[in-house]
Formats: sequence, structure tokens, C-alpha cells
Amino acid sequence: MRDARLLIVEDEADLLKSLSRGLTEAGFAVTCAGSAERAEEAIAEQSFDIIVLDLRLPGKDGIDLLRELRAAGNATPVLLLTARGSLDDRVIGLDSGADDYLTKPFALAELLARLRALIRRHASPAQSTLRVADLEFDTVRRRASRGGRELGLSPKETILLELLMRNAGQPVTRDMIAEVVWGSGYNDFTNLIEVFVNRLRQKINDGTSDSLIVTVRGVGYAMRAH
Amino acid sequence: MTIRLRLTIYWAAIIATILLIAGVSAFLLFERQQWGALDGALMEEADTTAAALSRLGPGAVLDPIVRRLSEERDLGPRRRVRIVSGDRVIADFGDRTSELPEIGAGQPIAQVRDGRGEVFRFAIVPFQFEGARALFEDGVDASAIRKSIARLRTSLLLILPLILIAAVSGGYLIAGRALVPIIALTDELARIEPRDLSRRLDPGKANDEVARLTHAINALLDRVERASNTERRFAADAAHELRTPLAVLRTGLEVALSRQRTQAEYADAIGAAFNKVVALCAMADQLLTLARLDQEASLACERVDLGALVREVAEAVEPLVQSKPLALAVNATEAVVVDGNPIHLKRLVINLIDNAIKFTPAHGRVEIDAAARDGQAMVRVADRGPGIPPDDLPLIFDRFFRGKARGASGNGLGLSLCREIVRLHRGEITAANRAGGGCEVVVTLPLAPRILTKR
Repeated sequence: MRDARLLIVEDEADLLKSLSRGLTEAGFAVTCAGSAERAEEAIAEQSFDIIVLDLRLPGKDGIDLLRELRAAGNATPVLLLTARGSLDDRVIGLDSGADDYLTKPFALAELLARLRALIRRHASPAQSTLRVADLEFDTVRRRASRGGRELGLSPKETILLELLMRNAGQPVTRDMIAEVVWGSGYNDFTNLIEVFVNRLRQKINDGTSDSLIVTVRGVGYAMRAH
Repeated sequence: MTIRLRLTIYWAAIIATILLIAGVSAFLLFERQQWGALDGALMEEADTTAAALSRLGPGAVLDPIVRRLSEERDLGPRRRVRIVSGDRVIADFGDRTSELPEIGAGQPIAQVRDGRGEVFRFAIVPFQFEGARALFEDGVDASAIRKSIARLRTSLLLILPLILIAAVSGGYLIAGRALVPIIALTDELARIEPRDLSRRLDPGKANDEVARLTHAINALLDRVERASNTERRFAADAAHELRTPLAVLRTGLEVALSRQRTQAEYADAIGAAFNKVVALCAMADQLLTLARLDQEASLACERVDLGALVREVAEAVEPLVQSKPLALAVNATEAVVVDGNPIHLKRLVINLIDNAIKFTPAHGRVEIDAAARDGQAMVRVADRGPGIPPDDLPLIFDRFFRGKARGASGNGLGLSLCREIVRLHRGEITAANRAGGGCEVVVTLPLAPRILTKR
């Protein structure tokens, strides 16, 4: 697979520089823009697989740029960066067509995981069955089985399994897990995510020794690649 | 425009209106009274004379009448009497140099009229004289009355403006005097510096409006001073709390950079620095949330069922309860509806339950209740952990407070966040040790009005 083409729009030069470096090293083909106007020029020149957009920009606002892109029929996935983390910013962002958001300051690993999940969600056609090794998940009937033996998962465990399998081979962060499984607010809960993932891990591993869910230290968890 | 000037203008407008109305009515009353007496007598006499004249036969002599009129001069010093029939003047006695009355066209009726030169006043009475219609005009010199009316007018025009000027100047002085305490207050207030909020205004001895204003301002200053002190202490605490990890971070990086090191040593130093920065970010995040809660005077409120919220969080922590293991007793069957911010309230419940689970040892018991009691919404989280040292109890909701007995985890902001959230919802939060060990935290919030409560 070729490198994903990523446009990052951010007015803080230092942050732009370190993000650009981190994203390039992570395998993205990065284009930088310091303002919404520069971003428009870049978008006119080439198409991108994903855009990282700062909400507050000097001159034209990130939200305005996003609205114009969507109005023009551009469906490139957009991840918003918000400085404030206030609820209003988030609501505005998701209402104007953003696909995900992150509150500054954020971990690079968090950004990478979310970007990959977004690209994957955008690129891959909806599959009715997800497979990793001998683990299978039927997305329609919402049943998981390993080696033909059905795993009795609770609804929340099923949600977590689907999240991990859809992003197989890539880390999923603790925040992403908390948001998808319980909704916002639970990521601060001491040990909750660790315990919950361990339980799923045990159910999947029941009887076999081959652990499919691996811990990515300091980031979160990942399902092994296919 | 100053209040003093404005008050004076209002006062002047009121006084001028009153004086104008009083002056005009007094003048009109006097005028009517003066003319009324003369007109009545004049008309009565003219009527009597005309009646006498109409009874005279043809060729009668008018002299007796003339004599009688000239002798009876009690109506005034000068008289003029005429008898007119059509264009013909039948008789004309008295002061012939005086002016004549102005008589309107058409059928004349009995009336009183001014002379053309506005000196004489005439009673005009129509009557039958020698078989034809005639007018009896009986005039008298009315200059005395005219003069007295004119005198009154002149005096009023002179005196009323003088009264007005006196009243307005008095009003201006009184308004100034009334505002003296306000001006003094303003000067005193201007001397209060934001750096020293301990100064208070002197309310004086009088129990008047200004004293009440002074008391209100002093109470406001009390609140501002308290808030400012809290703010200052918070800033100092925050700076201290940030400085410690920053110093560690700085030293660590300094040492790592001071000479050439192995790959593993670099990785170690950067890893340690990274962990510190992550903790700092988390603290900054919580400080920001606290600051935002501080600024919020009121909340974007909606109906929140605390019972459902407690059940939701209790269900979410079920993996934790099983793994530790703990006994979790949830008693939240009824709907406990409050007006509140769902995100803040969720954070509150999560923080409280997180604390309880964290501090309860394995096989311990955590109780969570949500109920409506005595018109209040109540959430109670109780554990059988080590409890809180009595000395720490009053402090646990303070920012950056970390109990020594409870381990070193956390940055001491969680419970103060809880308190801020509860304060914003106009509720109360208390912590106490339980008989038999462990502690309980009780939150009470005002229930939402019943009418809309969903069951």
C-alpha cells in the first residue's frame, strides 16, 4: 500500500514541525499548511487521503474551511484539532462535517491511531465478516467465533472486539476504546479499560495460548494483523 | 449629564408647571370676579331702564330718564347712554366723547360688550320703542377695573419668574447636598486598590439609602476579597505543583544532555521525561476544567436522571468489580431527576465511584445509592476502605490536597472538581467516616420541579 497522503493545517509553527516529522516517520506523505488559505491552494493542487485541521486559525477559521470543503462535495476524512476542548467546539466541529477530533495537548500515538482508523474506515468496503487468524466476527449477526467455536461475548465486549478487528494490525488508544464502548468520560477511570480488555482477551484465548490482542505500551491495544 | 443637573431640570419643570397653572387660574378667577360684579349691575340697570322706555307712549319726553341716569352714577364716574333704532340715533346722553360699543351683525340680544377703545363697557338691551325695534346702550367707564386687572397681570408676570428662580436654585442646592455622600463614596471607592482589598467603606451613623448602598458595596468587597484570595492561593498552589515535576523534568533532561550517552540511556531519559509530560498534561487539563467551572456562573441545564446515571456508571465498572473482586451494592431504582449539566454530573458520579473502588481493598464492599429524600436528590457512595484521617476530613475537597494515608496516586484535583460541580448545581457535598471503617461521600442537589419529572 502506498503512503497515505496527509494534509496538516496548523498555525503554530513548532507544533506543525514536530507533527510533520512524527507523521512522516509514521509513513504518511505529509503536506503542511500554516493557514486555511495555504490549505486551499494545496487541496486545489492534489487530492489527500486525510486532513488534520486546527480549529482556530488566523484569518479564515478551520470550521469555515471545513464547511466550504463539504459544501464543494469534498468527502476527504477530516480530523479536527481543538485547543479548548470545550464541548461547544466539538459539537461545532462534528456538525460541520468533521469525522473525528482531538483536544490539544494530545499524544502523537493517539493522533496516529485515530488517523489510521479514519483512513481504514474510509477506504475499506463494508465487510460482513472480519477475520484475524482463526478469529471471525460476523458484523451483521454480531457474533464472534474462534476456530468455529462461538465466543459468548457481552454487547460491550462485542463492540470492543469489532473496534479492534476493524483496526487489526494497528493500535487502538485507550481514549478511543472508552469513547466507543462507554461514551466520553470513562477514559479517566482507574484500571477500567485494562481490566475490560483483559477479560475480552481471556475469552478469546480460552483454551488456546495464542494471544491475538497485544498491549501497545503507553498507547493502548492492538489486534494482530491478519 | 449629572444626576444633580437632571434632578434640577425635573424640579424646574414641575415648579414651572405648577406656577403657570396657579398664576393663570388666579388671574382668570380675579378677572371674572371683577367683570361679573360690574356686568351684573350694568345689565340689571339697563334692563330696568329699557323696560321703562318701552312703556312710554308716543312723543314722550326722555328727560326724566336722562336725569335719573345722570344722577345715579354709582356705577362709575362717566356714563354714556344711547337709544338707537336701526340707523337712527333717538337719544344720546352723557359723555359724548366716549367710544361706542361694537355690535355684531344680525339680531341683537341682551349682552355686555366692550367699547371700541376698550375703556367703556356697555350693556346692550333690545326693546320696542314707539312700535319699532330699538337698542338701549348703557355704557360706563370701566378703566378702574381694567387697571386693577392689568396690575394683577403685571405683578404675576414679575413675581412668578422670581419664585421659579428661587425654587430652582433651592432645588439645585438640595440635590447637591443629597449627592454629597455619594460623591464621598465615589472618592473612597476610587482609593481601593485591587492589590489591597481589605479596605472597607465607612457607612456612617445614619441608617439611610447611602448607608445601605455602602453596606452592599462592603459585602461585595468581602466576596471579591475572598474570591481573590482563593484565586491567589490557587495560582500559587498551581505554580508550586507545576514547578516540582518541571524541575524533575529539567534536571533529568539536563543530565541526559550533559555528555554522550548510550542509546539505552537516552531512551530511558526520554521515556522518563515523556511520562512526566503526560502527567503534566493531565494536570493542565484538570486545571483548565476547574478554571472553566469557576467561570461558569450558570449551567447549560437539562433534565438528568441521577438514578439512571448511577446505574449506567455502576454497570460500566462491572469488569472492575469482578476482577478485584468487590461487592458492589447499587440501590438506584427510582428516578432522581435534577436540572443539571449531564457531562459535569457524569464526571461527578464517575469520580466518586472511581475513588471508592480505588480505595476499597479486595473483597471489600462499595455501596452506591441514589434517591430523592426530603425534597432533595441524594447520591451516596460509601466504601469499606481505610477511611479518612479526621484531621484530613475538612481538607479533602481542597485543591491539590493529597491525603498521606490514601496513597500517592492522583494530583489532588479530583474531589475539588467534584465540589465545584456540586457548587455549580447549588448542592452540597460532604465526606464522613463510617462507623465500622471506611468513608462515605454524600452529594445532595435540588430536585427538578415535579411537574415535568419523567417517571
